[in-house]
Amino acid sequence: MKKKKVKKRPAFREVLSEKLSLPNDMLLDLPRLTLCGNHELEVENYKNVLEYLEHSISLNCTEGIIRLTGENLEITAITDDSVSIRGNILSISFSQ
Amino acid sequence: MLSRLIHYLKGSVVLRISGTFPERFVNVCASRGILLRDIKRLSKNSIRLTMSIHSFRLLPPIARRTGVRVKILRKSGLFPMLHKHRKRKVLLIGVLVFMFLFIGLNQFVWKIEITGNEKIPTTTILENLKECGLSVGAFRHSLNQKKIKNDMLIKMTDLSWLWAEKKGSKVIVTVKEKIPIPEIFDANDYCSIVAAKDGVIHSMIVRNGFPAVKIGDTVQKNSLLVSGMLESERGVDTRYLQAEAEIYARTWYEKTKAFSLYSRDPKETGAHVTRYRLSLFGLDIPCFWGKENPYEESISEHELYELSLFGNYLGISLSKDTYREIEYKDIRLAQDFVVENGARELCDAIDAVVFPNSELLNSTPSHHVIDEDTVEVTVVCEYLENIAQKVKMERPTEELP
Repeated sequence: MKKKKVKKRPAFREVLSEKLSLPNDMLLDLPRLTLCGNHELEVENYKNVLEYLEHSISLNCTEGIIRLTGENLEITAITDDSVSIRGNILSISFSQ
Repeated sequence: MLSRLIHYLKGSVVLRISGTFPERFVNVCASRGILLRDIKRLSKNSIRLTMSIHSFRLLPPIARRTGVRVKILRKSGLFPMLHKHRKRKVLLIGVLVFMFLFIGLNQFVWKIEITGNEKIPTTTILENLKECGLSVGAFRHSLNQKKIKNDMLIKMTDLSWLWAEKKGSKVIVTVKEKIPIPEIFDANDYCSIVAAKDGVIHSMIVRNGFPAVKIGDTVQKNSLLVSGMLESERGVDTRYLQAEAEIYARTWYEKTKAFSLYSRDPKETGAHVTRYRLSLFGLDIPCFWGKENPYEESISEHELYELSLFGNYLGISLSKDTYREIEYKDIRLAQDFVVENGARELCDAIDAVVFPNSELLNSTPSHHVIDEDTVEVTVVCEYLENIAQKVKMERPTEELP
């Protein structure tokens, strides 16, 4: 029996977002990161805080995990859809 | 700033959260809509955070569910402070009395500022304002700005406009002084043109009237230049006109002044004193002992800090005067330098007295040494000026036949 090749189809929201030129973070619940220099970062559309240490913070998002490393990291404000982080941010990495 | 003020009014509590996973506590709080601020990791198992007092009541079930211990480190805000001092009745009475006095005393005028006057002394305006009902200590709600304006404009004829603006306990009075009205000649008036200064006629542009001088003539002040009376050749039918002309003449000015070859150069010695004065609802309280300025020669700096709320003066101000001692050191200057500077100063002085739009043709400085410390500088300047000055003349009364 011939094995049928499965091609991954883009999600309906993704197509809609592309066709109507709407911002991805609105329809796909993607995280929006606003970085001010390397001192302040605001993450919107996050799910929860996985880890909070003085030198690293991990945030769970729809697309995976956002990991920040730095020095003297402090969460200045946290609500159910956004988190503001202050400190000396050295790196931001994304992982699934 | 505004969010801080709101947080202060609402009241905040600083907590220490200890447990295996303090992050779980943070996540649950966030998912339940509790705003957490200033989260900081203290140790491996504890964090410090700030939240509103109102949200603190929602914490016990969350703490039980997430297995953390909550400890209050500090409470801040207006309501926690009032709650803390609720039994201190004397303090409450003191605060109420202070507020009553503060609000009561702010209903009066404690300061009057005059702006816009150049020739009229401030004290004269203040005296007249006092007669019109505006003085230090007046009840500010009874001030009628329109009445003050009208009364003052009637009283002080050399003012063209005045307005008193209330800024809390301070009243800012803005004045405009009258500019003298230039003499305007009626078109039917008979007038001639005379010389305003001595000089030698350089050029003439006569638009109306009969010229009485010609180019090259030397004229003295008040001598007739252009006559407004035109007589016919036959001696009858005399016409009286308004003479109109521009008469340019070369004029000379001479000024002499003695200048010292020594300059007094001020130098700060480094010693200084600062004097504070507290002005409390019109009462001036010096906050220092001894003489205000202990130095014979000094320079001073004045700074004023006014307590105001939304731009309204609250009747309390602090003035800071700094006096720095200086000593003068005599420095001998070069004679050429003194002569040059002196000539420039004399030229500027002459320039201030000539008519506007005059042209400087040349200036000749000269000097002679009076003694070894003094030099006398003389400057002669030649200008080209319009010396025409209109003078109204009386028309002779016609005799009846």
